[in-house]
Amino acid sequence: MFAYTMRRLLAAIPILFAASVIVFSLVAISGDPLEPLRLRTPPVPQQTILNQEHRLYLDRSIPERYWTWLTGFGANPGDDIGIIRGNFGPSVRASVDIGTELGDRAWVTLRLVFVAMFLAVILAIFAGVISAVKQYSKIDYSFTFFGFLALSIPTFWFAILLKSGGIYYNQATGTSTFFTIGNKSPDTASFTTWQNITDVAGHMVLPTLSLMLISYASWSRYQRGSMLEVLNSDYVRLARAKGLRNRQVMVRHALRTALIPLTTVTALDIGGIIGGAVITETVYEWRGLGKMLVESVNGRDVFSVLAWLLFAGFVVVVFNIIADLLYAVLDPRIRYE
Amino acid sequence: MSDIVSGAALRGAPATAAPPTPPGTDRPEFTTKERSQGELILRRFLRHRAAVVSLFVFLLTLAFAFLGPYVWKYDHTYKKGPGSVPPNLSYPFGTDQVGHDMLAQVIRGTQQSMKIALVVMVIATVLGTLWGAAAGFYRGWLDAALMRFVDILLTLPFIAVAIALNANIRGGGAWWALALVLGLLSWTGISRVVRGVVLSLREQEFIEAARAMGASDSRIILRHLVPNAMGVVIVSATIIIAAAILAETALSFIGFGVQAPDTSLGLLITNAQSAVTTRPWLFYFPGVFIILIALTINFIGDGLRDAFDPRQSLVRK
Amino acid sequence: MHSSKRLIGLAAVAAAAVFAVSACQSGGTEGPPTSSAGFAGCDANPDTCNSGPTQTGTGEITYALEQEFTSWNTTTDEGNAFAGSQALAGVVPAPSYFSPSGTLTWNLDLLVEAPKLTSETPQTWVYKIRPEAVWSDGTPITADDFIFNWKGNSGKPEHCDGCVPASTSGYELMDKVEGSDNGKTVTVTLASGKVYSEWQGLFTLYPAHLAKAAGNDWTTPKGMAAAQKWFDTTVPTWSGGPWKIDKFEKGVSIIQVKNDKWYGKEGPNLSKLIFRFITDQSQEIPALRNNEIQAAGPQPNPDLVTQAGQIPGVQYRIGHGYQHEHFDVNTKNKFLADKELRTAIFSAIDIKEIIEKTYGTFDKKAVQLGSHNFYPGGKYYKDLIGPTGQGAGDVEKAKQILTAAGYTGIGTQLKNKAGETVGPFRLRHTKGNQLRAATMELVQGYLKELGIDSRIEVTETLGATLAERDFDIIIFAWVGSPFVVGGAEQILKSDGGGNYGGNSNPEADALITQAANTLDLDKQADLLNQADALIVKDAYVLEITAKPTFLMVYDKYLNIRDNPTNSGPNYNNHTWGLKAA
Repeated sequence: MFAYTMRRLLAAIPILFAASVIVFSLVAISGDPLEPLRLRTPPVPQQTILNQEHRLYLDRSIPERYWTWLTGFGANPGDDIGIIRGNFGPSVRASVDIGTELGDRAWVTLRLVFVAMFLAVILAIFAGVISAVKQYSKIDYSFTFFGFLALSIPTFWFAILLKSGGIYYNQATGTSTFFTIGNKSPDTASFTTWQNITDVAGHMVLPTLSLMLISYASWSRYQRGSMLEVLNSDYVRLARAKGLRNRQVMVRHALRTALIPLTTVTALDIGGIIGGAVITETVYEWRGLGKMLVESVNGRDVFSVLAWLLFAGFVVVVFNIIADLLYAVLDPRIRYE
Repeated sequence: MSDIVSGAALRGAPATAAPPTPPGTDRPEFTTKERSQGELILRRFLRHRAAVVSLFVFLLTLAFAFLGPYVWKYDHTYKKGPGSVPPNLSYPFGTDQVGHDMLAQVIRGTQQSMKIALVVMVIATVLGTLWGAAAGFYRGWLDAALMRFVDILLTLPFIAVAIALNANIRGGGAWWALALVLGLLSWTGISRVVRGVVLSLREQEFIEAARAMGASDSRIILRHLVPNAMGVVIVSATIIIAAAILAETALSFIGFGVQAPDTSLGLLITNAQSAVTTRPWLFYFPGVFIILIALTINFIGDGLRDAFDPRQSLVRK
Repeated sequence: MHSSKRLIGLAAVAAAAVFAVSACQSGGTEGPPTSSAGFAGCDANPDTCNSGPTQTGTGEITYALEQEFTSWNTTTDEGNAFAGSQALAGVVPAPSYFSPSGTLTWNLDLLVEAPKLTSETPQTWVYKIRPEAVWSDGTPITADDFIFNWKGNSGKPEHCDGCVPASTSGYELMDKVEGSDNGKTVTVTLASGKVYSEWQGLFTLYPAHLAKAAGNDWTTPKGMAAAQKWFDTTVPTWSGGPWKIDKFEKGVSIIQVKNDKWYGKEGPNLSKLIFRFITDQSQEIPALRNNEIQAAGPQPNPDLVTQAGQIPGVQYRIGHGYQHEHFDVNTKNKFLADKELRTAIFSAIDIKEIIEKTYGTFDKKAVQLGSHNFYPGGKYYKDLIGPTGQGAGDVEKAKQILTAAGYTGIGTQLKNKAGETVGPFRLRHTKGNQLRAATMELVQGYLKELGIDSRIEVTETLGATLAERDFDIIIFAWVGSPFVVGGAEQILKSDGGGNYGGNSNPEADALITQAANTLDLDKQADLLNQADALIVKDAYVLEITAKPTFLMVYDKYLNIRDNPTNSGPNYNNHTWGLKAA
């Protein structure tokens, strides 16, 4: 199992490498990060611009720049660059360290993403199984309708309404149950543990609901499909024919098998959910990866965009490996050497 | 097994419709009895009431978007109306602060959003089908190369790449530029599905027969393999329309979508995001149209899937 | 479990919808007033409105900042951001600030008396620092801190090797800055022959001794660069003002508490001042309604103003700042090089209608701006543009001008004397700005009435578009200040870095140069108005209006008021306090 994981991780390296070439070229040719500086009035001294160009490696050709970014060879003295050494290179904003920034924000975003995914998976399995078991019932039809509806609502449209709903609830009840900005209150020094917990929870409810909506809808449809497939399969019929209790058939045989496809989809969707966090974080003012991407793109911060995309790529790869490992747990026929 | 592609992960999800039945089943019938098969599919689709109603509503929306400008008295450049009036008889959807007629704006927005979605669908379908068919047909190193490329694209979050790309395209903000970017990012799902179908079909007798009769590779791919994958392709294509509508909305919200003076449904609700409580007509009308389009498309996709693969119909047979 | 969760979600949406309808009914169609009750006095008394007896040492306020800033050194290029200067207003001392009325006000907590010019040739002035004025570690604020600021901003290689100052203007002209009287008296002398009329606005003080203690010998050029960078990157734990940073969470919040060594006469009255970053302005209203913030100053729009008025206990005010929205015409365009055509276009543009459909929808006091330098209500303001008929929307007059100049096809397909079709012109504005988009749509209509085709193109890179003169007509804003001559040199002079229209008027240039070398502000203003009168006739910059500023805050707080200058509402944040019971 360990050997398999390592092999998969190693196999992911060329993919990430190729992705980095594509991303680097796209971003590098797309704009001049120093434009705002060049166009400043009154003009800044030429030397300042040259210094900045040198600092950001803009005085080199794109292949040279890529090489340095990748390996760190030929770096400016004292500069932390070279992705294979774990350095992300300089940001356009001199005082920003891309690695630190990524680290700070990854925690904020991944926490949101994981909680949303976890809830979405649980709810999707629940809804999908009920739908499948009670196929053609009213419950099935309403789950299906709400599933499709949820798939059709623009995330931010829903998020804005949800926010109004949360505020309305607060005011109607005279409490401050839901918060609309940030992932916690700024001044928590005097909080007790319990207050800290409710504070964090109060900040998380609305963004999590917004982020999980589409995933829940998509996955519940998926789960319904695979559950139906399994329920109609010969071995489940056999299990029933053998007189196993319904509950046992459902949980031990049907559900377990029907989870395999969902595992794949969940892993593949993680990239999309991180992308979806761009919207959720904007509406709820979370300082996470999503906002980092928008800021980096707007600032034409090449190394920062690159770091972001590679990090996201890495998360996707890791999730796919985890999904593969989960297969082995779910499906006894699969064993990794 | 089947699924609905998550809107957030247009390319992320795998097979969008049922993969082919395992080799050795009744597949060859598809080509020999095409007409009756088509009739069967149609009949099955018509039995899916939600899908039929949705198709009807969707066609109405299409007509609204593309015929509306010829019928309605104002066009989207009209701005002589009174500022910010709620819906009334002369301005059924109200007006915004400049005096634009919102009905004309919504018509135009729907049209532009539809145009984007349809172009995305065409690009993604054509590219994805050919890519997947080539990979599945030739196998070997070409397959490996083509599918590794898909893997690479799949590691990058769709919306993120779209933002990075669209922010920097010259002429960014034009609907076609947006459609191009989204289209070029949306085909990976289809290519995987088609490859799967082709892989299972290429060893079958009717393909061998065609080959024995001297058919060229391109003829085999285009005349024999692709038509057999049509079912899954069509279902995927409908889902891509829905996803593209939502993706356009999301990009508009971040500020990388269609730009004024042109408009789109995404831009309209983005501009109205602070008007939810003060001028709700600006927020709800375009939003309802987005939901309407995406919802009907999703039901149509469901109906098509049932029609092509009747095993898990939502409708009791 | 599942279905009940679902229900909660639905109930929330339904509730929101109901709420939307009721809110809509209560809001009238008249449009919101420009300020609510508590701020009503601000028009007459901008510097003293919303004041009264406050409680002391108690209460908190959370103020929203719209931008994240990446540097703590407001004197460097990277740190020169409005959000940063607001957050540091109570931490980094300066000898002067602008009050809301645009009056330069001396900081008499820091200084013993208002500095005076002691000599005009060479220009020399003297600051006397109060003996009580100390940094939070007890070290006195002295001439060293002034010298540190000067050398970091002079742009001279012998002072700093590697500094990127926010602005060198003023500092570059200084010959020496000297301390005497234990450093409590500071004498600034300009190089001979140099004049700097905006001398009163100079200096922002950072603690030079702390830079040194951190190992940066700022008396050497390399050391100075290191010292400036140290202030850029180090979160201040020191303070020279009423507030001191207690806790900073990057991009999320800054919590400030009283500086125990505060030497001023008053305050801080609140016990805590919290800054919260909200970078998407549309999220400020919900946050204010939910009481997660208590004050914010976003760019106003109709919905924002209406909603601010609907939140119980919130008062707001629309003020008028020093940013002026205007059109620039590219005089290097083959057709637009003709002054008659430009004049005709400016006459056809209806500024009143533009304002009515943009800023006027929420700001009833928005009026056409008639000067390139001064603002309505100011002492030196003269309406120079109005009388010329530019911006009057007089299509008939425009047509007459064109006929007289030999144009044909007026109103259908305009052709110049040589018979060439005029246009199509490219109208440009920044991406995502709804008001500008609407304005350009209107302009397109006016041009059409003269028979000129045009198309609207957005730009994401305003700077490049301007510098490359990649436009025919463009709309953007200048950020000015109560000091005007620097701006005039930049924008209106033929060789000014901001003369994007490319117009050239030697006569006006001479007047502006003369104004820049005049220390007498009345005389200076007169010269600028003379120059402007000439420039208005060239018809290449058409002013629209002074952009509105906005402040919304819960009415339990006193002494907080809008300040449309670059000093911002935080100029007096130590006096903010809860209404005394």
